[in-house]
Amino acid sequence: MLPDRAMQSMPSPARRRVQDVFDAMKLATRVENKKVLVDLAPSVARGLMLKEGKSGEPVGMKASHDAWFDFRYQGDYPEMYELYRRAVQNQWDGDRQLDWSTDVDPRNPGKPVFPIELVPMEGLAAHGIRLNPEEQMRFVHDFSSWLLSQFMHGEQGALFASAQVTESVHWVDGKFYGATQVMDEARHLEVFLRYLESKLGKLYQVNDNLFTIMDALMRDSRWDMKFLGMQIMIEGLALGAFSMMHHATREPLLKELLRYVIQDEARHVHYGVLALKRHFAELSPTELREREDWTFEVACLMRNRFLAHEIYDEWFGGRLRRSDWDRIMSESPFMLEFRQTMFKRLVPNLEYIGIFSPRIREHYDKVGLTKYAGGRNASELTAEDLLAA
Amino acid sequence: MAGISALLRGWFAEPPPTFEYREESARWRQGRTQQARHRLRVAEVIEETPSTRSFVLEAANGGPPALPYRAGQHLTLLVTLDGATRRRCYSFSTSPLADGLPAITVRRVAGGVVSRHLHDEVRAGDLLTSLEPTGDFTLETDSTAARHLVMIAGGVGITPLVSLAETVLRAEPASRVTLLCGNRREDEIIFRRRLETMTRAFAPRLTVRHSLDAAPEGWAGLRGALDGAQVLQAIGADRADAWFVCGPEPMMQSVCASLAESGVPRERIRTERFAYASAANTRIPDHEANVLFVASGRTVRARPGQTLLTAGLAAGVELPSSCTMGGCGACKVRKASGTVVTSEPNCLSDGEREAGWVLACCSYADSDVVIEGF
Repeated sequence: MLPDRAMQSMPSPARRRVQDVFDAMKLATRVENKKVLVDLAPSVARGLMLKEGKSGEPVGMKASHDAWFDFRYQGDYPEMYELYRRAVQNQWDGDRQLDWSTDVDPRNPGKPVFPIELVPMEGLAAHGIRLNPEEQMRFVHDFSSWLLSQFMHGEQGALFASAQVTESVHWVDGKFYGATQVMDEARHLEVFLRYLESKLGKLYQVNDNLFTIMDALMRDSRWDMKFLGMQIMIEGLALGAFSMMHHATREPLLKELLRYVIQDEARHVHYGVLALKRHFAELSPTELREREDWTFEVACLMRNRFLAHEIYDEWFGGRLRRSDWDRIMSESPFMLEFRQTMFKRLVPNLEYIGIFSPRIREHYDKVGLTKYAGGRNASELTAEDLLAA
Repeated sequence: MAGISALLRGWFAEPPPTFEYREESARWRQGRTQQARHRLRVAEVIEETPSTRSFVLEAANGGPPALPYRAGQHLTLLVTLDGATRRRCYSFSTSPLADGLPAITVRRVAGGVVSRHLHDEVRAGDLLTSLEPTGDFTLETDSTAARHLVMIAGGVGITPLVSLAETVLRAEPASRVTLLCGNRREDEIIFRRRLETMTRAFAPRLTVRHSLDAAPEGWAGLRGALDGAQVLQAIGADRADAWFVCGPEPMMQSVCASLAESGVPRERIRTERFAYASAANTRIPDHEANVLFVASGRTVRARPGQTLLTAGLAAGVELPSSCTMGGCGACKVRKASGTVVTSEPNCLSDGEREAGWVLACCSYADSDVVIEGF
């Protein structure tokens, strides 16, 4: 990174771009597997450097996968068929089953959407920034909107990815199930968008790291990479995040909304685990290694996604260095717990599907993401477990 | 090339904000059971009298709210207390033709859960949720009209009437309004100063007369309860083209009866009741009955205690509703045949009842019933 003095002397747009370029370079230099680097580089350029997700225009992502037809219609994966039946029976209607007449005031300290601990007060105070009570509630309102906006964007990615996966998955029973997930994702997108529009009144742009991940997996031609990226990484991490948010919020509509979404998400991750457990058992060591490395890089992008640079730009852009903000967010108790809950769900799943070898474990160790290995994977967890967690 | 130019542009230009403020999309209003909802921020709370407050409303993010209302209409607030969402209608006290933000006016009712909450808890800056403005207690204005409207207000019944009066006076330069306001005590007179200002501004087209049940010594206005006899005496020989009456039920009954006796045609009398459906006063049928909604062809089996509205909605019939307490008329449906029991009092006029209209929110099928439309 350039010396602080040089950075501070730049106009703020240029300073932001330098930081973005350094972030992208940091990612590129860390990637040891050149094949993974080649796979991810175009998406990193589009997401982190060109910031296509923030262009304010619709973005095209060219798909290159095969739609896999099977005209034999064999009963090829009973567990997936069972999952499909369960999904059909548990469809819900967000319009009817959620009470949209609930009064939500995101600035009411008596019934906050998320707790006031969301404000990294100590970290900010160390840099001379103190928010008064009114500013704290406004910050909670904004951060809640930002957080839910990111999950909403993720749901849009999940909607398209689940449609792609339905085309490309090789089992007929998987296609049955996949179709229910497409409907689930549409409903999730609907309820998050509706909540943001009608209750919080504010929508944030997609985070660059999340855009990069979605771009990479939408364009990848391999069906299992789509599964890995969407079903295991994005859905798996979202599941952990939703569980924590479900417990943290005191706002009844959001609590109920998350309860419904969690029940769906638990199925989605289970689907990904079932599919990849069987598929990965047939891959060569080189192919498995590539998937391990790809997954690790995506995990790092996911972690960085929660540094909330959009909030930084809005609130502290001219008052605080971004590196300081990153540190504050990394050390904030609320965000620490948030990340821990998310990754607690991820690592056991990676172990179960066979892409968490001692070699890659060291990488996860270095970035502090292994302390939750050994927990239960998606095939052993129920929605009730997640709601009670 | 486009990528490179985008990259270069980003080095020098301030990026647009990473967020946008959003209003509730119209698409959410298409749901069968959902109606349009507004999120409104209280811009100001005005104490009109010790027991009456006006709540000035702005958009959640500031500025005038997208809340198209007509004079005389009301706003249904959705207030969630102790986990239950309650709906209450409050009339606009402002004129849509005046500058400034809209306001509703609320009297604190001793046993009223919502009115007490609004008075005791809601402050400037707080958010409220409402449905679309509704209500038929309105009038069409005509800039060429030259008419005399008499408005009779009991207590907080002044709220829709002051909105109507100001609107007519602004929209119809040749029309005049006589406003009779009844209150118990002098300190309970709502909008007293505003009415004085309006009287001066629209002189001589607005006449305001106050009547007090307990008038103090030296009181120059009318004395005694504002009933039918009092109203007729106050108006005297001055003929009115239309009468607007809003207030407590006994006052309204007395005034309407006196007007009818004196020969005022029913169609010239407009009433607005601040009514709350009370199931306790109504014999609710203890048997099931079929309700046929003609347009959709759906027949619904209404269970004992289920209103036409809840039975219809549960079966997916798209019935409108607002206050669900018999006070706003939004759920008015016309009955083609059958017998219903309806909680009283409610806001239906005698003419509407004779024409077969019933309020779905507080009517229960006593026999098999056929409902036109829906």
